[in-house]
Amino acid sequence: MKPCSRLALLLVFLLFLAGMHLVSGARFSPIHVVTQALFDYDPKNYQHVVIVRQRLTRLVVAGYAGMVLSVSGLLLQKVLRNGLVSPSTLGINSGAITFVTLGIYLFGLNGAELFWPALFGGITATMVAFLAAGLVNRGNRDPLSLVLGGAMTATLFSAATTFVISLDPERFDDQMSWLIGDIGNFDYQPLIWLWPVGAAGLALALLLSRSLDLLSLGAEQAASLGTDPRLVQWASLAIAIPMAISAVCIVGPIGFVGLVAPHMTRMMIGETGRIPTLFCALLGAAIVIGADILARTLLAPKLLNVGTVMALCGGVAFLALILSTLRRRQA
Amino acid sequence: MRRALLIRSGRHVHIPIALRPAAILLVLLSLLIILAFAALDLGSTPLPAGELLRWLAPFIDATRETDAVLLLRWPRVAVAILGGAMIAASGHLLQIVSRNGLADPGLLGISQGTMAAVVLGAAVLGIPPQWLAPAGLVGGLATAILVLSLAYRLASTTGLILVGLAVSIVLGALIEIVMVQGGMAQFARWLAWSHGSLTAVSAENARMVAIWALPLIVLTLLVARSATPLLLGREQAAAIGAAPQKLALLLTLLSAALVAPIVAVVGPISFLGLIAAHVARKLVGERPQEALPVSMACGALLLLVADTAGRTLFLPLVVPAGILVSVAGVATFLIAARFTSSRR
Repeated sequence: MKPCSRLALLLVFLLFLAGMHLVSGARFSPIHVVTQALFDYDPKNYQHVVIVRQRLTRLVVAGYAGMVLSVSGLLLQKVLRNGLVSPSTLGINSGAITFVTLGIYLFGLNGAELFWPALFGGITATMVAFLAAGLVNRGNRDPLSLVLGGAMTATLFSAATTFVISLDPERFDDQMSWLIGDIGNFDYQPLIWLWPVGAAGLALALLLSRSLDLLSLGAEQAASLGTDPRLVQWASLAIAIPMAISAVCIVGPIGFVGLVAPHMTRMMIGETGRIPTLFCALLGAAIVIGADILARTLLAPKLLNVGTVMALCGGVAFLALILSTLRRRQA
Repeated sequence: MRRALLIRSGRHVHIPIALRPAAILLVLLSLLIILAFAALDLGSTPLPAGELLRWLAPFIDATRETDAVLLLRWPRVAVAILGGAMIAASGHLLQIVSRNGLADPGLLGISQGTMAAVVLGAAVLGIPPQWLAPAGLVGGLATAILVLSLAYRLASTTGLILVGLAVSIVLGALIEIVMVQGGMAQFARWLAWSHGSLTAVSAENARMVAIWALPLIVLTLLVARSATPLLLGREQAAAIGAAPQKLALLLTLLSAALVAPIVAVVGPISFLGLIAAHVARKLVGERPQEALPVSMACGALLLLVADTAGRTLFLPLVVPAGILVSVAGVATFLIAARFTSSRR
């Protein structure tokens, strides 16, 4: 099957999942009610309100977060040539959260304003992770040491976050679902301000994908083929971090999409060219939407958190990836 | 030639005591006693030293205020000392078993396994408080065996840690499901506990920890010597007549048992075992029968200092001990990782 047709197939699957998402929930809504709510919205009908105000907004937020996080993960994995990095395993998410809690505690920021401290935190965390990895590693580039550095960074920042929260728990009352990575009913509000970040990031990632493919041949090869390796590296970091941060600001730390989606993409259609980037974006959206469906229906009428569901599934995937990396290196 | 003092009693009892480790241990223990006094004395309500001595003396009654203040302080100090020693011993044993200088109950997911069993046991199955520590022990042991056997074939220092990390992420998600059931104040308390905090320790807790601690610490000191062959590696150990598999299983069980009561009361204090074992090895070398007691003393000192500093230095802020230990621990970990990987 050609990559294009696989992409189309994924799109169909995504639409199907989106339909499932709108239909399912604490209370099942028949399909004709959903279509009616979408095309002939009646604000007095309670079911219509639930479908449009709660499920549709959740759907959009979940799709956006999945798309942005997985493209960010793909860029990071390609540019660092390391299959174990992603926004969560590098500690970017934890760094962003620490600075967001600080922003809330010290300056009382809220909504889309939190993007700036989060961005600063993400950049700081990336630098700390590289520094830590440099300490662990001596010369030979081991893909595991960067992950170890990232994990240590995440530990450090999560300790800091806990400390900031313990200063005044009441002030963070509204943020609890955000702190553990859940999609709430009002999460679409910051999305209105932040979606351009994701859109621009995706467009730039598509533009960069050819140079990134050349870079995967090695820096010297890429330079001799007419790309500037340093520029490409910095540019992709400059795209990947704000993209991940824009998702973290909206939904909190949803980990592992950024790790798993690029791997699945690679297994399904390879990684050269522009189509894999698009494929990865759609796949990430599908994964988070699927996790959201599971979170809302597994223990219904109780709600689980998307972040928790993703950590459960993603942690297992992470374990499998580490074990296979180690096996391969041993062989 | 190591300088040693030989204690002879009759014809059969010869106890050689290496001088350097004994001296270091003595220094550490006296430091610990001084610090324990300081920790009892320091706090938001200062006590005159005379009052403290009067409280400690067996037959003299202290004033009622002193009694009340110290009733809040002594459990914390006791749990910090016992807990620090136990976590350090557990970390040291794990480092011997896995032959990996980066092992630590918090980093291998054992604390998280214990925590998951405690949390799920308390919230879902409704286990009464006094049975939580045994339930935690089962969880911790299961996790330890899972992580060590997954990473057994992979001779990689960082691999073991990453496997432990992945397992703790999954366990953390399980814990989180329970954590978010209450409100934000509850969540903040859980969060502080999940890093390790001695704020909520009561006299009851201190007694529970002491009941676990005394036999386990004695047992650890007794088996320390027999753990020496494991340092050679499995084949070598088998070649000189030890049973490495059995020994490793026993020591893993022991190290899980050592952290279970602490995790149930204080929460997992990651990195403490790692730091203490490294300091101890720097001070007295590799031999377990000398390094283990020193590392226990170091662990007790560290946790006591972290807790006392956390509750007195930044007043009116109170920093949980686990957070201070993690910050110091990350730095130690990175340096240790560098030297461990260069040795291989």
